[in-house]
Amino acid sequence: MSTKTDDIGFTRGLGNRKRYLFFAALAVIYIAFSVFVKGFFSWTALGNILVEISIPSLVSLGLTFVIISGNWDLSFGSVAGIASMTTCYVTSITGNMFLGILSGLMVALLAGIVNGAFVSYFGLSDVIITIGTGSIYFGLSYLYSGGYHIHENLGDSFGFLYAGSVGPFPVPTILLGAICLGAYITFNRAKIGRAFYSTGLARTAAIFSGVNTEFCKMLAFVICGLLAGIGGILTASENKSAWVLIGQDYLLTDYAIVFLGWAIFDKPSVIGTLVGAFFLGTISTGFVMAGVPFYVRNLGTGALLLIAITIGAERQES
Amino acid sequence: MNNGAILEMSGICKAFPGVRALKDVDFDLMPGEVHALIGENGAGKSTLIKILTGVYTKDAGEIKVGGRRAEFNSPRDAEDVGISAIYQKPNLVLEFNGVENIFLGDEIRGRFGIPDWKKMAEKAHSLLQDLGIQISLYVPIHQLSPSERQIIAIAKALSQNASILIMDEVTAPLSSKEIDSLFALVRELKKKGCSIIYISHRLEEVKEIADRNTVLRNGKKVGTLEAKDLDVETLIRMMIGEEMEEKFFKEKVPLGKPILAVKGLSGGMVKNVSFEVRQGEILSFTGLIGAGKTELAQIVFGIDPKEKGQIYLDGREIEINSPRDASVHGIYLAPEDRMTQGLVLDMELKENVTLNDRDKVANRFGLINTRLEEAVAREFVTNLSIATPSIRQKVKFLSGGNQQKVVLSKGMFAESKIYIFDEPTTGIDIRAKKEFYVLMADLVKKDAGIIFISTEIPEVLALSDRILVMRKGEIHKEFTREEATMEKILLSSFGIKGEE
Repeated sequence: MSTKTDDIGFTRGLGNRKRYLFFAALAVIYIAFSVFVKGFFSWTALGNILVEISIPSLVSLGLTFVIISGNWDLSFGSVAGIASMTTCYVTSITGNMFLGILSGLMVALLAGIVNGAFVSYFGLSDVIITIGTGSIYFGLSYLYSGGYHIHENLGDSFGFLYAGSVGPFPVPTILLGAICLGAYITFNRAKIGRAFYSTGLARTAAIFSGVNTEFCKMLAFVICGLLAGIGGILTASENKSAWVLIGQDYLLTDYAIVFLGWAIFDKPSVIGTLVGAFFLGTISTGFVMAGVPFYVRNLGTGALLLIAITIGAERQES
Repeated sequence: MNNGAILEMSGICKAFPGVRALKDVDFDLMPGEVHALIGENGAGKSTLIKILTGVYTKDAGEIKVGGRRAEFNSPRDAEDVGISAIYQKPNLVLEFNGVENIFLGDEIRGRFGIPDWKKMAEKAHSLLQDLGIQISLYVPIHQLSPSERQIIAIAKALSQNASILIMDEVTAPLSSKEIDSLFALVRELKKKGCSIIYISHRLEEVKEIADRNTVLRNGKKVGTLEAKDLDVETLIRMMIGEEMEEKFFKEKVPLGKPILAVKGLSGGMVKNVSFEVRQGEILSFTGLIGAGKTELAQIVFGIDPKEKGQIYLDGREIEINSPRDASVHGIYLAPEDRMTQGLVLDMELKENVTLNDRDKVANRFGLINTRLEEAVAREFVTNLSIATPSIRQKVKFLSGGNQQKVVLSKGMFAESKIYIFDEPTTGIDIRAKKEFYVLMADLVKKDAGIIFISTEIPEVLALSDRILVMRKGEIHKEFTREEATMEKILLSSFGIKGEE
């Protein structure tokens, strides 16, 4: 028997050490910021990072479902947008925040169902479909206000979603914790997790093994849509207003996060996504505190995505 | 010591971490010779070939091509001295036509570096003409038959002036008629002075085509036999290193009641097929490649749609529209391609074992009981003696025979009543095959029924209670175990009359 590795290219033979390499890089970055950026090395800053990453983490977790089951979703940013617009529109008209949130989530759910149905039951290309549906969702979100911000009559409690806390824990962090736990159990302990992974890793074998792969793909898109919706609503709460561009910057950030996690842990996973989010959050918080302009942050995130894909993620066989 | 050999490899050694892959292997090749390389899986054939094609670098030893020392550090180096390899799945672009494939990456260019297709077409034609072969060079090669694609691959090698051709399991996807035409081509190549290293699991083929045979075992050379000294028994003995035991036969188990009955089943190329499998029975389907055996299995298993006919389980008619339906009824298919259909290669052994019946290791909340799952996996590893460092090993790292045991475990864990094995022993070595036969025979002792699909007649003869020969999608002939012989089965496979 010979020992085989699947690594190709210049990381050949690096194997598990890849993981330590990434953690070392994270440590180096953290120390560098601590030395050069005043106030970075503090509990406050660390707490900020945790709050800062809660929205991208949530949305990336949704994306992780889709990626694990072997598809791509390019529309979730627009789903976040339309969900936040719906929420704020309904809230401001009825004055009932819960009704607003419920409507927003319903729209996000519906968007996920549409994506999932096209990809799994009609067997169409995920990339093309979600480019298409994404621009439809984006277009639809203009209908509420013609593109203007919706911020009137949202009520004080709307801001609590993002800025509030229960005891010492910020609401978004609690939400993230709960959803993470759910996702972790789903993938690592639940039988549906096996179905997700097998659908993504070897669809034919999954079908031969009696796995309902269409359902898995469908469900993944629905979860992705819902979590993107929650992300969008939280973003609106953070800004105490919704506008159509919410979510349009999710794509880069969340793909970078998922791929970073994939690179570090050799497969897309819940823990990987969390670590990826923390990695990215550290860098972006450091940049913000250092006063670096936003386009440099984008540049850094893009570069990180490329690095993650190049070194880490296993290349898919054709 | 040179005796005019075009290729001489001497004292080749290669080690991988923890494994000695090759030890002091010598191999030579004369001009115009077909030299077969034989050995079980893991004997070192692939490693030797990869060294010769520059994919691996050797640790020690010497390679001489045409009397001159050669060092290969990349596949390019090997190509430059005229060594070219053709594999089971040729490296061709299916959407391109023959001419485009033959000159891919090596285009003849005219003025301004523009590819000169006219010149290339002419050269391709003359290449094929030299070999006395007619194939359409202008259709996308996915329209060609597998053997014609192999011929395009050979032409591609020749266009690059290859004088040493390595053919690695090239006949695996071919029918016997196609093999004959390929062999005619090989003989033609020999006449032109081309030398061929031939690798195949099918010893009968080797016997037909090779001038000399070198047997490898555990990374060492066992010996080289001239064609005239060759008989299959000797070869096998050299390969497995011990006297071949008695041929394996299935113990006769008293047959119970019929479990699965199929009546007038049609769909795709399958036409009006009826049969019945009883408890304790191994019912074989054999016949040529493309006779419709796999298609039949996939209809019964719910992969392909059924157009007509009924399926009965324990006397009651059942409806199967998906593999899920089939599993619910206790029907299990060990598919033809274990790598893409049978296993999720990137998942762990234990996860694969329980994949078909996840409910059985899960509690009522749908959570998997890890301890139970591990116990289950360990039990299968022990009972089927699956060689693996751990139950958490990804199955892609297991050998073919052990992978097939995992495929079997999946069906056993699901407590299936009917097992359909579609060519379960392809690409696994003799020892592993025998082990697998024993496992199959054990299954029917526990009241299961087996549908065994195989094109290898000896194993069909050794294992079956009844044998159905399929031809062109229909059941052509039925034999009991007592009446069946190799000759009768072959004759009816080819549809030759007068077999009675």
